[in-house]
Amino acid sequence: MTVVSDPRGTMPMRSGIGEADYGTPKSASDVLVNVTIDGQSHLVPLGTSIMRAAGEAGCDIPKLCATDSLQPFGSCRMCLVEIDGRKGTPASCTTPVEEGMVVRTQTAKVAKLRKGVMELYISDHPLDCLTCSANGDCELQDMAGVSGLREVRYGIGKNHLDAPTDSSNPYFSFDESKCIVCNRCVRACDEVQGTLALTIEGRGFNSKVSPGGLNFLSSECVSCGACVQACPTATLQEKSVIDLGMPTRTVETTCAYCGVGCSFNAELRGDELIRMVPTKTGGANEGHSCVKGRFAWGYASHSDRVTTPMMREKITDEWRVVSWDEAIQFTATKFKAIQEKYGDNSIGGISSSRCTNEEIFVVQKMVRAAFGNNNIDTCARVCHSPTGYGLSTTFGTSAGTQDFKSVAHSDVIVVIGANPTDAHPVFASRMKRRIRAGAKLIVIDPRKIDLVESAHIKADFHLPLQPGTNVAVINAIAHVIATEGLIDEEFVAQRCDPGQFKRWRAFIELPENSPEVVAAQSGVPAQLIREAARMYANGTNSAIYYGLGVTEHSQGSTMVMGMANLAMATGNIGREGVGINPLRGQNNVQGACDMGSFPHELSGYRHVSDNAVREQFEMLWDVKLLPDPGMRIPNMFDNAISGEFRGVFVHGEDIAQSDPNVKHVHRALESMDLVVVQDLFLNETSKFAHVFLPGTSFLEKDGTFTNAERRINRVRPVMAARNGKQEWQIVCEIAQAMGYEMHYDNAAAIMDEIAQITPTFKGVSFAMLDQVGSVQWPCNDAAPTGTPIMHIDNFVRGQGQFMETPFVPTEERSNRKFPLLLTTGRILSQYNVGAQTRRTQNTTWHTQDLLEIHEADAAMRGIVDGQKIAITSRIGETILTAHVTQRVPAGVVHTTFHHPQSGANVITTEFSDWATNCPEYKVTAVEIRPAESSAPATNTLDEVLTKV
Amino acid sequence: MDVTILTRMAEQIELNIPVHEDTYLRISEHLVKFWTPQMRADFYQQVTANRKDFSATLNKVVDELRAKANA
Repeated sequence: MTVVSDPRGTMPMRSGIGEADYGTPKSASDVLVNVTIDGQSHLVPLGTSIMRAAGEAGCDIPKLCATDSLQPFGSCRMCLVEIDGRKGTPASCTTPVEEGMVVRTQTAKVAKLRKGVMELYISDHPLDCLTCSANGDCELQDMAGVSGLREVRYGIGKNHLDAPTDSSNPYFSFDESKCIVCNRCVRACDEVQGTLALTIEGRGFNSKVSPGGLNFLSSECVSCGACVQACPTATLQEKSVIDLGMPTRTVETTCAYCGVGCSFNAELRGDELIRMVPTKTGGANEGHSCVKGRFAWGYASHSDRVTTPMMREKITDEWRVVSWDEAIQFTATKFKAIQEKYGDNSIGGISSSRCTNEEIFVVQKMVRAAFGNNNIDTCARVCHSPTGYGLSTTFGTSAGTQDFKSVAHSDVIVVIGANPTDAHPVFASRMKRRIRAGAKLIVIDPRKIDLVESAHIKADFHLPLQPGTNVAVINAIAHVIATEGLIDEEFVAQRCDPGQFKRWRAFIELPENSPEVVAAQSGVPAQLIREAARMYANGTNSAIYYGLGVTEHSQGSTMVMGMANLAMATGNIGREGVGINPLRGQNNVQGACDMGSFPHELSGYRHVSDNAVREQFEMLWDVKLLPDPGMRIPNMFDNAISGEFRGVFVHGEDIAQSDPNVKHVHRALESMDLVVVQDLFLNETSKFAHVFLPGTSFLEKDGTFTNAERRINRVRPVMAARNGKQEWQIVCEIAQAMGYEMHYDNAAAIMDEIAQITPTFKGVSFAMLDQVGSVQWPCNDAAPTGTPIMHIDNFVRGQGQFMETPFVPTEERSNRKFPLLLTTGRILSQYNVGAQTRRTQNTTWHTQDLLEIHEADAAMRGIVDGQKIAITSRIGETILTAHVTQRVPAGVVHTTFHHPQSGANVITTEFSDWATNCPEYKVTAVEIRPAESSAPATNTLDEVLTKV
Repeated sequence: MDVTILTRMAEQIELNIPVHEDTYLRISEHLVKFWTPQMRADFYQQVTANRKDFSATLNKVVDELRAKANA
C-alpha cells in the first residue's frame, strides 16, 4: 500500500486515490485508554475498535467486511488478532480496546489464519485482475497481496463464477460473480442511506446480495451510490470506471445541486472526469451522496452546452456567434443607451443561487456600482425570501440555526412543507438514522411523503393539512402550548422581548387559534394537533425542519415567524438538537442571500439605507450608492410590461420557466429592449434574449458555495472552463465596459473583498478553507473557527422577538369552477427546471412530470392512471399525465416542474407572500378533465375561458 | 408600475400586520424598507387622489410616509 498525503495534508491515504479507511467508525468518547499494539503504546478513545486503533497507529490490519462508514460486522475473519491474556483470535473490528490491552496484529498464527480465509475467498472469485475494472482499487486484490496468498489449492468445484451481471441501473453494474457476500453494500443501504433496498437472499453457498425486485432498476434502490462506495471488489462498480478506466487524480469540490452542499472528490484521469466520490471529511455529507451529486454530472459535458457568446438584434432573429469583445461591448453599450433614454432605473440584474458566492457578489456589485441602482434580485426571491424576512425579524439574521449534525441530538423532529428524501436526500439519511434510533417524528404536509411511512420509519403524527393553512395549524400548535402550560417561561424571560411576548401570548390564546376552530379550516383533526403540540413541547430537544411548502405561500413569512415563535416559546433554540432549519432548495441559496443580492440589502443582510454601512461600500468601491431599495423580480416584470424597465442581466436563472404565471413573465421579457442571459444552455429565458453569454458548470468554477447550514465550502475547478472565462470575469468586463473599474486577479481576491466588507465573513479566505475544509458563518474574530449553532447565549438581534401571526386565508381558493388545489414539488432524480438532470441518465426514472390525483377525484372525472389530462387554472392550461394515488388527499393534486413542455408554471398564479413577494406556488385552484388530445398545450386565460 | 398592483400589495400587507395602534407605522416602515421610491410615490399619489377608497390605516400610512419625506 502506498501512503500519500491528501490535498489538505490532514490524513494518510491508501489504496489507489481514495480516502483512508480505518475500518470502523470513530469513537466519540473523551476518555482515553492506553493500549499496546505490536509493541508500541498508544492513547486511544474508549470504545475504539482494535482495528481502528491499529490503523490510526499505522499498523493496518487486513479487512474485507469492515469499512469505517459502517458499524463493525465481524464476518470476514480477515482481521483476527491475538490479545495477551485472551484465548483465541478475536476479530479486531468488533473488539473494543481496553486499558492496558496488549494486541499483536502480525503473528504467525493470525497470518496463517488470514491466508487460509483469503484462499477460500479467492477459490470462488474470477482471477481476471488484470482486466478487471477495479484493478488497482480492489480491497480483495490488496488483501490477497497482504496475506501473501500465492496459490489456491482447491480445484474447480461448485462456484459462482458464471453468475449474471445486473446492468439495469444506468450508472453502475452489479457483477454477482465477483461478490464475496461481505454484506457491506447491504449494511450501507441500511446504515448510511436508510432505504434498506438490499438484502442477503438465500443461505450458505446460495447466499447472495439481492435488490429485492427483478433487478436494481426495478427495486427500491435510490441509486445513492452508498453500496458502490462500500463494495470492496468490482461487484458494484460505476459504469464510467468500467468504460473509461480507473482515475488517477482527485480534486475536492462541492456538489451544485441541492442546499445540502455535499463534498466530493472529482476523480479524473488526465482532464477526463471519471467519477464523483463523496468525501468522508465533507462536513455536510460525511461520505454520503445522492443520485444527483454522485452520478448526474454528465450535463457539464453535454452536447447542448453553448460555449461561445451569441447575439441577435431581435428575438425573432437567428443567433449569430460573436467574439467575447463584441458581446461585452454590445451589452454594455446597449445597457447604457437604455439608461440614457429611460433613466438609471430602467435596467437591473437577477443573480442565481446556482452560482458561487464570488460570482453572485460581483453581479450585485455590477448592478449597484456600474448600473448605478439597486435593481438586483435573486432567484431566492421565489423560494426562501420569506425565510430571510421571518428569521431576521424574530432572531436577527436570515439563516438556519443548526448544523446538519445537530439532528443526531433531536428527540422530536418536525418536518413541515419539506420532502427531504426527494429534495435533500443526504440530509434525509441523517434524519432517518436518528428516527430509527428513537426520535419522534411529526410531519406537517398535505401529501403523504416518504417520511410518513417507509422502511423502518413511521411518523408519530402526520398532519395532512389543506394547502394554504400552514399558519392556522402552527398557530393552533402554539395555542395548545400556551394554554396547556407548556411554555418554557424561564427561557422566554431570559432570552426574549417581554413586551412582544405578552402581545403574542394574548393573541395566540384567542379561541380563533384553538385546534377546534383550526380543524375546520385546515382539515386536521383537533386532537391530532393537540397531541403533536404536546409532543413538540415536551421533547427534550425538539427541532423544526422546513422547506418550500412553508415559504411559497401568501403567508410564507408569517409561517416562518410562527415556527420561530414556537421554538422560542418552548426554549428550543441555542443548543444541539433543536432550532429552526430551512432546507434550502438550491446549492447556494444561502450564499446568494448572504452576498447582498436582494434589492434592499448589502452583503451580510445590512439595509441599503444604513448610512454607515453604505459609506464603507462607497469607500471600498469608489462609487456613490443609492440608499433606497431597488426592484424585486416581480416589480421588474410589472415595470417591464408598463414600459419603465427595459433591460435585464439574467445570471444562471431560467425565469421564463421557473417563475409563476410564465405567460406574464414572457410578456415582460418580450417588452424589454435588452435581455442578456448567462447560462450553460439555451433555456426558455434565452428565447427572449438578445445576448447569450456562455457560463461555466460547477466543474469549471473556482469559488465557494454556502449550504443550508451556513457552511462555506470550496468549489474548485476540476477542468478548464469550456467557454474560456470564469463567469465573474465576464461580469467584471461588462462593468468595465460600462465605465466602472472592476477587476480581480482571481476568485480568491473576490472572497477577500467579501471578507473585508462583510462582518460575518471576516475570517474567511480560500487559504483558510483549503486548510480546514469548510466553515460555518459567522466566522470572524468572535468565532474564528465558525459557528455551527447560532443564538446560543443571545439572539443575533439581542432579545428574541415574538411576532403575532394572524391567519389570513389565501385569495386563491377552490370553487365550483376550479374545485381542486394544485401544489408543486420536486422528485429525487430531477432538479428544479431540469436543465441539468434532464441532460443526464436520471431521465431513466422521470421521463415526464406526472400529476398525482387521489383515486376518488380521478374516479369522479373518469380519469385512469397514465391517462393524459388537461389541467386548468384561472391563469392557463396545460397537459399532464395522471398518476392516480392515495399519496395526495382528495381535493389536492400535485405535480413537479422539471420538464418545460409540462408547463406547470403556465397555470400557477400571480399571488405571492405579503412581505417578500415569494410566489404562491403551493396553492393553485384547478380543474382537471381527460385531455381531448395528447399534445401538450399551454393556453392563455382567454383561450381557457373559451374552453371552460 | 400599475397602481392596482401596488394597491393590492399594500392591502395584503395591511391584512397581515396585526391591528394595533402602531400598525400604520409598521406598514410604512415596511414600505420604506422594501418598496422602491417610485412604488411609494405612485402609491402615495393613488391614495391621496382616492382617499375614501382606502382604509383608515392605509391613509395614515400615506400621511406617515409624507411626514417622513418632509422631515
